[in-house]
Amino acid sequence: MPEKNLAAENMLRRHLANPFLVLSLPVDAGIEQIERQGQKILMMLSAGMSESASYQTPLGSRSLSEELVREAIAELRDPDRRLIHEWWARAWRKP
Amino acid sequence: MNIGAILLIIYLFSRFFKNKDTTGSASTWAGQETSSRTITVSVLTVLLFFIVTYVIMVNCQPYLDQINSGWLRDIAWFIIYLVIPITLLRCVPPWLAWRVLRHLGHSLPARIIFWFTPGEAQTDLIGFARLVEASLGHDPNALKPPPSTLSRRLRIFFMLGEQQPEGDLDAWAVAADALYAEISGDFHKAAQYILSFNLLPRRSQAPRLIRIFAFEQFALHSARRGAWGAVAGCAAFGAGRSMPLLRLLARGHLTGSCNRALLVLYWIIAPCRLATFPYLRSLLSPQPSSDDQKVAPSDETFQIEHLRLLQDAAEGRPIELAQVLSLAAAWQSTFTSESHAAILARGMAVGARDSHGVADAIPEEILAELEELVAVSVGGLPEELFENWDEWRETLVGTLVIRLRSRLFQNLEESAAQFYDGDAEQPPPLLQCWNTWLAMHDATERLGYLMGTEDVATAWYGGLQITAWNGACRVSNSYGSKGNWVSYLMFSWVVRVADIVEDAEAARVNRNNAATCGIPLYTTFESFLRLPLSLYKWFSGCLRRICSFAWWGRETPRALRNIRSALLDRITIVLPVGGAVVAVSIFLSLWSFSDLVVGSLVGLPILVAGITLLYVLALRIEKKRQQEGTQMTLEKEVEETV
Repeated sequence: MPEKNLAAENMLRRHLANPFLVLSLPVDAGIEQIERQGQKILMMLSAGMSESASYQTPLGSRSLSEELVREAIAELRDPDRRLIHEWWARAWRKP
Repeated sequence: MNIGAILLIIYLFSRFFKNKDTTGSASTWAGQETSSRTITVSVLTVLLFFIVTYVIMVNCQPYLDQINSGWLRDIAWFIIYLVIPITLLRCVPPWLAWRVLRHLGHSLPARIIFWFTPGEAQTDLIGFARLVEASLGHDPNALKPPPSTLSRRLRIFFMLGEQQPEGDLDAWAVAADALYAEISGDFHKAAQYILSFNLLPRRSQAPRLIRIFAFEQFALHSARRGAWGAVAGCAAFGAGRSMPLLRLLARGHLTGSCNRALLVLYWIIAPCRLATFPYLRSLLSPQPSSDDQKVAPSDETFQIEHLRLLQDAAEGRPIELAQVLSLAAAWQSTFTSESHAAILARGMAVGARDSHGVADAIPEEILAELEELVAVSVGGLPEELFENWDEWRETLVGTLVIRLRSRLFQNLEESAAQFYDGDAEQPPPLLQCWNTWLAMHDATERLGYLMGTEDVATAWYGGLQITAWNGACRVSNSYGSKGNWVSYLMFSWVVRVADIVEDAEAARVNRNNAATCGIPLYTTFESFLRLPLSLYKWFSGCLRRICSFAWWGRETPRALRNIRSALLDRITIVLPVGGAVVAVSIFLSLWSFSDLVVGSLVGLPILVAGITLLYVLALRIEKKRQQEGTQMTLEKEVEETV
């Protein structure tokens, strides 16, 4: 098997865990919308609904977890962090 | 008979090549004690030779008698009664051991059968055992559990000895380790080990059986994972019937075109037909048209390409350096004053405290990711980058190249620091020396490949020369014959780099150092020419062992020692005596045919003149060899002071 590169793996994981991708929200979503969407996904996850088990990324769907959602909400509450995530999320969006 | 003259000519050629290429004091034959195994195998071989020759004679003599032409009959006689039996005796045991017993997974029987191969030394037996273990997926360096009683008895009976985990690191060991690394999935190490064979001079060879068996297995395993580049590399250096097929298969899979008729012919000739059949079929089956081929999505942005490259790097798939640089150029186009202002404006809208910091951090973040991609990428830098360097210098691409350069220098410095520390009390294990040297070699080669000769020269005169040169000397001095092979490669590499950076002194001294490592560097043709010499040494070695008084617990008399050394080592005695014997045999054979007396009157003076000339040549060879021996000793001392 080819040798895995941990640094590249971490970078990729960080990009694919972009809060806007995790919460499936547009980059201009307000903080209330973010909170609401986050709570909704958390409830769906705790209810075990299959449609909430994954989210879409530019490289296909990824599995979703409560931890990932909470982390995404927390990241977007910080305006500086949100600005960076917004920039990257715009980049991943297809033209 | 003309056979005597043919043998003499071949013998003279073999003597010539011995003096031309045998490397130094630790040469294959010099000082090598004939083992009991050699005597046993010699007796068995001679016995089998006569049996095989007798069987052939019974079946072929009537056909030989029907040949009217004298010279044609001589050649046929030579081939049938000498070449065929010798070939059979030399080739059947390794074939049976490797192709049959090893293939069936019987390691010990394979070793026992290989034991009967004439002309193989003790190191070859141990090396072959390592190779068999590696090809069966067992670590050749692992400590073995104690053998069973039967196994131990067989080993004692066949004098196979126990494998030493810290044994010689010769060509066999390097090939076995490379094969095991390939099988166990450590492809980087496998490639490093196999590429080290490229340091051998052009057309020279590792032991032929390594080139046949190890390279074939290595290429087959590489083909199994689709690494056709590695297959092509192996096939270029390997030997034997399978190599033309593997070369053609690699070319077919890499370029998509090859001669199909030739491919089928090579497949029929080659061994391992079952293993190579799927690759043959895939090349012979009709190729899908370009419409059927998968087309990459055209709407993919460079940002998504960035993610894909990260994914490839994360999973260890190869990525091209040119791809990463074009990605960097694409990112550069997004960093305009407008985009910077847009980030600041958006920062104000969302209430960011440090919008400027964010705007500055984003290019740095991208640069760090691209740097990581560059570090694992393969391929070279585009030519136009260096041609228009001033245009690129201030861009993201230029920054990447500058950082790549400093990273290459840093890697080289780190790897050189790990290579043989001269201040250590105990020398490190030989395998560790070898691995750290390979890392240093790789770092230098990559620096040269990406940045050019000037940077290699900078590194060379900045300390690499002393590290590589002295390290190689320390390995050679610390491990002696155990490390001959690797120290030879180390010296050869120093010569290569010194030639590139035009360091004539280092190249000259290390060329001589390499020559003292005792690695025979014969081409296949030269090896063939050496065959009579090998046979002569073989039988005389057996004779010496049998006649030796030490064999019976007594000291050998001085007179006997002198005769023995004259017979074995003095070409000036061997040549005239051999020539005289052949001349007498030719004269006697001509005397029995009265119609050729006139021919003998013309031929004999020519032969005598030829022998005289060869005697003079032998004297010169002897003198030159003595001079070289003195010079090498001196050089070895000189280089220690560097």
